[in-house]
Amino acid sequence: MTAMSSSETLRKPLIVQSDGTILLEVAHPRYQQVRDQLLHFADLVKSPEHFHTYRIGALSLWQAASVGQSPEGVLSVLHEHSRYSLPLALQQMVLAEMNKYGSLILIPGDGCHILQGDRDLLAAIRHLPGMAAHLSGKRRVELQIKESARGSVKRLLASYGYPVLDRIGHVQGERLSIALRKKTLTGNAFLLRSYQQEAIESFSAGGIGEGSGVIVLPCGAGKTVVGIGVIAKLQTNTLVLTPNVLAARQWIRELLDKTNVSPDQVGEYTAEKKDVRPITVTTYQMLTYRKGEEHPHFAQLNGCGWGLIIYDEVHLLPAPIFRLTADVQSTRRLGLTATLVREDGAEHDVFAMIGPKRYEVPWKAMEADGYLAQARCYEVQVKMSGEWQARYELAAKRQKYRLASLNPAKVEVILSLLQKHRGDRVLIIGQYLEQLHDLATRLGVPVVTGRTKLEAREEQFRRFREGQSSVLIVSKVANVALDLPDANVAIQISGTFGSRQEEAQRIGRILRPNSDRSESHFYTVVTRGTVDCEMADRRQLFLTEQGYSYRLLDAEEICLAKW
Amino acid sequence: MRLSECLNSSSIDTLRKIAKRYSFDCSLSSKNSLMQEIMAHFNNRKFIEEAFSRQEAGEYREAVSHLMLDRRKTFSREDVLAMICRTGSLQDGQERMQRLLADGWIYLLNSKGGRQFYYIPDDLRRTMCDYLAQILKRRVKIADQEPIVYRDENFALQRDLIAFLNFVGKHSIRITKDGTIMKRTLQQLLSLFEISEEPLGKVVWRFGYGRRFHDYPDRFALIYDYCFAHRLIAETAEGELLLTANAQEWALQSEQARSEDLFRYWRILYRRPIPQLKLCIATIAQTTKADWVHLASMNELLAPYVRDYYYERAAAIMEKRIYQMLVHLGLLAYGQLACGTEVIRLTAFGRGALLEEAMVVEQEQEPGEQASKVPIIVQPNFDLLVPVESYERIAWELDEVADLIRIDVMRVHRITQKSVQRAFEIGWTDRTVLDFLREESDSMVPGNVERMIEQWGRAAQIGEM
Repeated sequence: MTAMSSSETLRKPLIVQSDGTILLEVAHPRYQQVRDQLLHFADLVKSPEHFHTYRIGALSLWQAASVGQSPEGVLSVLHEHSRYSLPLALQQMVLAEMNKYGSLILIPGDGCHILQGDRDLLAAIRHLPGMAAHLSGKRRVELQIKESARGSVKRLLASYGYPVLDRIGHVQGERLSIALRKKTLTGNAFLLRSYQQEAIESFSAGGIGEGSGVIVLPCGAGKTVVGIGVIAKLQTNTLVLTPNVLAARQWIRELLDKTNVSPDQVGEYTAEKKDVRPITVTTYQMLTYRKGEEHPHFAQLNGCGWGLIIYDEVHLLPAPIFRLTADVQSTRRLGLTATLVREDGAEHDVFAMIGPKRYEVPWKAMEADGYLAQARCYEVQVKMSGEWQARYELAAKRQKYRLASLNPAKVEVILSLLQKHRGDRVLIIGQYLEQLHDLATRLGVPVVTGRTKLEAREEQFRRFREGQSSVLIVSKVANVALDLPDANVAIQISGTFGSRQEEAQRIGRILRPNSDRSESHFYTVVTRGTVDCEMADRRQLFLTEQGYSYRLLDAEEICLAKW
Repeated sequence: MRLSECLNSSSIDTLRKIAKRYSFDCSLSSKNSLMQEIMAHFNNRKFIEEAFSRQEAGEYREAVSHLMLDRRKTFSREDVLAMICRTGSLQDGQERMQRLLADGWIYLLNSKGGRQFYYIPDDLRRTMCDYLAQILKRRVKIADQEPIVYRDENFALQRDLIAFLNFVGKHSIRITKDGTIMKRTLQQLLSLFEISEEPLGKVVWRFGYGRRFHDYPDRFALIYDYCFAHRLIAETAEGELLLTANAQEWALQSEQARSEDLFRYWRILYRRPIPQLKLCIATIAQTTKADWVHLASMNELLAPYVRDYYYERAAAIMEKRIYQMLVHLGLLAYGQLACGTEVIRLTAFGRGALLEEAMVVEQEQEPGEQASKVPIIVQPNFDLLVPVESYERIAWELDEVADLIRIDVMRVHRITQKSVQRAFEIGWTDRTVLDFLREESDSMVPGNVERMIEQWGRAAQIGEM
């Protein structure tokens, strides 16, 4: 390439590394066109300001093949836009992995399922460890799979690097008459956004044999609405699985608010209530609950004539759910999530058990279209008083983080920030309960922690949602799928970096578009020169990689400013 | 030399023989009319093609095509004999030599120094090459679609050679009694290369393709032998591998010049086990200059020229020793069609080096300017992605402020607290580090990286105080 470094080759926007990492130059005139093409076969990993990072691998290539992309198409996009010539091994990987998809097809047979494929491939598969138990006959040209092993075989083969095209089809669920409202129960006009409509269409497309898969939408993009839209499209009895009770109730509230189903058609199946209705919402915990070898709740819910199972927040799906999901492969499945990245690396299971990615909109694209609020991130560095500094220096290593987090000097900064954001809806997020309660007392605002009773929690959230309170202090509970609409300022006063997912959730809290289209603000208050700062560095990296601009602020500056 | 010049410099006797051979209708006693008659015929493409194809297929016709595909300007008597005597006896050789002259394929002329040399007229050679290429092309299978997988290694070989020299210059490398680099060092070295290779596993038979071919994988063996033969490196009796003063001078050449020299060296090195290598290369060059050609059909075409070599079958020799090495040398591109069929085609550099065609994209810069300025990419996670063409120019600075992680399409270097502190100790400051990054990245340094380096700078100052 060196010899050919004419300006034309330099101008190409992609850099493809041999490990499957792809960089896309954001300022490039062809950025948008190339990004849209890339999203078909690569996953977005990071989106910092100048170059976005995507990755292609076996899974993303299977995903691409599953929606009809060809290796020729994928490679021609890479060849056309790549600044340097493509590594040979990578090109061969694209060809090999994409050709794998469709090379193994599962079809219905007589009293068993049939796995069809290349003879040599089938011979190799027959001898894979763990395979024998699922086979029934001895035919050579195809494999006879026990009917009960449909899911297990797909999952096993995916883990060995073979995607299986499932052509057995889904059972028809019981019919349910449901329609979206034009005007919500709470009186707001309700219209699906264009991308929500597209997501619903792309999931519902295809015959009965097709149609399971995952829709990837950023936090705040209205995943619940998309799920409800799919139910309305398919008109069938549906089981919704959510991470916790709060999220389950949120689903029920949304269902009643945005569709014409009556309250007695929607059931909550939790530790408190065991209503099985045409649309039943439950939690992962309920399903995986075990009594000896039995899963009583799963048994209860399985076989209720569901035409659709919705998995909310797929990236949080606990491993036992995959095993149970293997048994419901005959029911159409929809996964909803903000990210396919799983910290346990179980992406293969999601692909095999729920299905391939069917639709994705990246965060930044939605932000540009005004569907998500623009967020600004700040890090505010606070000094320690001499006395506190002395305690910090003397403390054992494990105590240091706590002391740095609890630095009392943070309170003044928080007060100034609240001053500045009078009239905004502010969430204060922290890890240490004593700090949160102290602050609540000083500010006279409500606090919600893990110890708050469910009813009280819901009440506080309702008040905040309805604008009766404008500041709410929450502990880590706020991280999980609950819905706090219209918060446009978040102040994080303590808390470890946690995981990428956790950070994504937190920032997701303030991404819903503000009614006046103003920017949202995300503050992290840290103690200067301590381990608190080190955590903040990781957060900075995460936010920068997500494409948020980040500013450092001095505590003194804030406290002196007259807002 | 053109045909007219060849005829002019030849004796009337020579011309007469040609005229008789083709039964030209002209005066045999006038040199002028002989010349005109011969010119008139030999300037006619059809006549030449017929003259060639009328000859019975066999060794003589092969010999003519070999001569025509050979790119040397002059041939000694021994050269010509060697080309036509591959199978027959010397007696046959004499006879065929006479026939070549009478047929007008070659001319024996006096050179300036008084020695005699054989010449092929340039215009005749051009016409014949085109014609031979046509014939050869009919015998290979041309791909009817573009490959979807393809790779042109371009000048990677000489870049890796430079990486090797840099490595030898920077590290003290111990070699074993047999003179080979220790395995761990070798692994470390190979991991720095753009085109990766694994150290050899257990091999039973491996010889014939160079001094260290037995010890190193194919590509690196070539790099090493080239360096050793050109005295860019030296193996000392004390068991050390050292860089010599020649290395720096060598690196001053342009990339293209380095690549061409590597190719010349390789051709001589591999000629012993593959005596007809030159012809193989010429055949490949003629058939793949414009189209992607099925590898399998090329194998058939080369089959008569490539023999088994002790431990290796002819087919393996074609693939590993000829095609693969031509790919490494940047002359040949390798591809795969959607159905998986393997295909090859000459690269732009290959056309330039093997067919003397002007390279499609000319790039003749001053060697000093050659390391063009292509910006590096600074990532928020402190990775620096460095384009190969910029690396040479800023290798020194990079080495001081960052650590090398791996070589890839773009080299990955990483800035760490340690690497920056190391830089501070040898005179860098947070400001100069940032200036360097901004300058090289076209001012695209992520904010968190800027802040962190400034923070490290402040911490270092406090430390000093």
